[in-house]
Amino acid sequence: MSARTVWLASFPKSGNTWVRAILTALTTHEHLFAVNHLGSGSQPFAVSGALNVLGLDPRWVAFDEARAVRAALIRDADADVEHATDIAAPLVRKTHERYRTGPPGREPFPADATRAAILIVRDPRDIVGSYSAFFGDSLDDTIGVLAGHQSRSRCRPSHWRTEQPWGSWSAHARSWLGDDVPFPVHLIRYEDLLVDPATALVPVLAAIGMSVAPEALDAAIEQARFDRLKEAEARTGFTETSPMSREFFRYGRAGGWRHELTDDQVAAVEADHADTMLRLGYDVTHDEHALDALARERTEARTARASRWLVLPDHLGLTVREGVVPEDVPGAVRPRTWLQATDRIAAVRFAGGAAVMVEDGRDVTVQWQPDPDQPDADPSWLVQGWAVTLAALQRGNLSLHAASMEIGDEVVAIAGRRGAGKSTTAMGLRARGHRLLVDDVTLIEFDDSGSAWTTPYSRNVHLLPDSAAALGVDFASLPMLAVGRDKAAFRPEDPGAALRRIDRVVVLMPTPRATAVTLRSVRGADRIPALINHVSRDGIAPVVLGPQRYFTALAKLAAAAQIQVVERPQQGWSLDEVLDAIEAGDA
Amino acid sequence: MAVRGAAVWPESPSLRRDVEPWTGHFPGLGRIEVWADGRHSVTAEPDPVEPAALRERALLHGWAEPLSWIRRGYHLFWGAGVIRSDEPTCLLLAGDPHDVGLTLMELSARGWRVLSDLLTPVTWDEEGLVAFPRATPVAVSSTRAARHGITGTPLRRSTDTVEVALPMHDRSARVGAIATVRPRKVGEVTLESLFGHRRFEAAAAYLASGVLWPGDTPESGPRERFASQVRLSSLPAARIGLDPGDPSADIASLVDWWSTQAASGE
Repeated sequence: MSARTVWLASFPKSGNTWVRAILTALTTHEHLFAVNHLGSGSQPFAVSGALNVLGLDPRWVAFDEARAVRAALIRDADADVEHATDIAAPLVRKTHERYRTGPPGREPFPADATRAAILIVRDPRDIVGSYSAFFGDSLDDTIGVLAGHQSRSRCRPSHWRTEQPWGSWSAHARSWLGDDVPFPVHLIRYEDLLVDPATALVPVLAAIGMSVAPEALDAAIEQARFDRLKEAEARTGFTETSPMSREFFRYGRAGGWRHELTDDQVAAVEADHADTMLRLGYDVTHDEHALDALARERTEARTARASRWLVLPDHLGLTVREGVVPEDVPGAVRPRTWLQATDRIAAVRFAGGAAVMVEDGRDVTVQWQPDPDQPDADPSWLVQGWAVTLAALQRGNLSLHAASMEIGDEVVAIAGRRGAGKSTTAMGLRARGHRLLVDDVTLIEFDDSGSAWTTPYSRNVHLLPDSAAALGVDFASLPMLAVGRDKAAFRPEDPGAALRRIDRVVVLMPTPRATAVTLRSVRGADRIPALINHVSRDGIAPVVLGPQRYFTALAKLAAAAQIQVVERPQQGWSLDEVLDAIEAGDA
Repeated sequence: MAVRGAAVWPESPSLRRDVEPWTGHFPGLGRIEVWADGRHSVTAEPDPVEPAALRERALLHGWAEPLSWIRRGYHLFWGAGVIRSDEPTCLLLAGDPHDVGLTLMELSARGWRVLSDLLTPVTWDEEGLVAFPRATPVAVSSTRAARHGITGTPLRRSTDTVEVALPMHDRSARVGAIATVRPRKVGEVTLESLFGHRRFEAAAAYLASGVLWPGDTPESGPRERFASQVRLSSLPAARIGLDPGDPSADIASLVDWWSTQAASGE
């Protein structure tokens, strides 16, 4: 059976509800038409339908699982012909999201369950006033939203929703009109609907499989006339009005921006969106050269704001710039597909095209493009973690995969594999009043006597929800890490730059046979094996340092500090027991 | 549809009700089985990072246990059940989980206890509607919990939903009234008592449907739903608009309204 779903896509406040009202009026007896019972309103980001379809409460799923639920619900709705009065008729569904693809089973808009899309566009200058009134944002903030500065798009299982990314007004329109969209997309301009809705709608309705008699369409358009919708809202209220607005249906006109926006505001919108506006048939009012200059100025300002993440503390001695990391570093060995290294250069490549290159332990190049769906996402881990690690190795030092804490008079590095609970343990100790020196990357250098020293530096801590809870911080209020990592960034207090001698290394080790939390010392020949997994940095360290320097440094660390292991069972243990053991320190 | 979810897609979650026991599969998370007598089992798929216990809890509380009530013939009210100390009747709170969660935390701070978080099992007897307790944790967004000064426990390693420890009530109770909670819009009053057709309209959304409707068949659906809607509309009902930033006064209005309902015994 062919797909039935037709996405009624638009940037917010572009006329989506008006078109839905017309479509509802087409399929509803005139005496049963009600503004608060418009069809097609079930948006795909809302996954509460999992309760009705699967009996599954989406509050209990993880972020990525919520995306799988979304795709399953879309397919289920498309295939559910038992409740369809006409299985050939399209199943129209509203969305404000930009078009994008996803991995199998997690596609935001599954192509196999999509017949077509209708894209409604509206002059962005008119959207500004309407959006501002609806959401209660200022006109200038709204202009920022249209430029993609603000995202209301986070995956929130607690609210039964996945991401709902709009992108900028331009990116939104371009996404649906792109050559890579695998189903037909039919464009409607809001302004054309105002002039002659029947002429604008007829070809589109025919294209999606809705055969409508002219007189029926005229009657539906009359039923859904803007002033009638406005009057109905005044009489009965409108359930889709935002809590910040008294009315949903405001003016229903084009060109209101000439009275609502200042000339500077108009220029800002046109500078941000001129290319797409012209492509969609909207003339601009400012000189092309002036708009180009203003666009460059606004882009530079955004870049400057967004580039804060590139800054590292001066005492680390690194120079960071954004640029292109070459696909092939001349003369490099590739011990991993994502790692290249020469005696001077080390480069690491990540999913999504991000990359970091460090030269001579000093010069850092970071390649990264912000995700328009997550403009506030934090990419600082590229610099604060990877760049600092690569530079330390190139200088002949070690980077221990550990958080470091001051516990009493001691400096204790807390190491462990991914998922062992390093950050949670560090945050727990911090909550007990101990000082966090650094999370995740403990730089280690040796003095002539063989003592191991670390240079703390200020950086973000990457928290999973349980770590945030231990910290007493609201996970949902923190910026998410960029490049699809479901952790959030928390900035603790600056630890200062003074070198600190490492007294103890504690390795967190979930142990299947353990029956209780125990702390034990590691002695003799067991010390190097206890450390090796936590200094290799995914195999990068021996490549960059060279095998001989690597093992020499590893042996020095094993000799320089007391090495301990905290074993805990898989279940039936508490964070407090682990913290108590580390604080006590006597194995 | 006997098979719900994108059952033809191996990567997608699905529920089969055409087999015995009912079988649910969420690739990457695990499986559930629910028998006609309400017995249920969960099997979590292994994950290198997330403990099996968390995944088993998710499958149990979020999937198998709600279905077990349906298989035993209970209806599920779309909302929470709360009871004030020493009172014989309980209040059902209808609405979306974030609004209901806020109300639960506010009422708990005022000494109320929770029968059930979302999806409260209910049945009718000769005297009216009875609500039953569930042992499922109260789950709210981490933001909501933080605003109430509560450090909740994340349900999963990768989620914004936390479990909050609220006082629970472990016995069934007769339902005295129903309140729908939602964010208050500009110009709306805080509390609106519902009567007549307004109650009937509100009652349409009270009970979970689809696979969460006991005996969900094409034949049984519309007539039974209508009958349930009529019965539910006999209960006192109100709509509460909440100011999420400062709901104290709104909750006080709800409590006052409940007190008059409990006193009048309508």
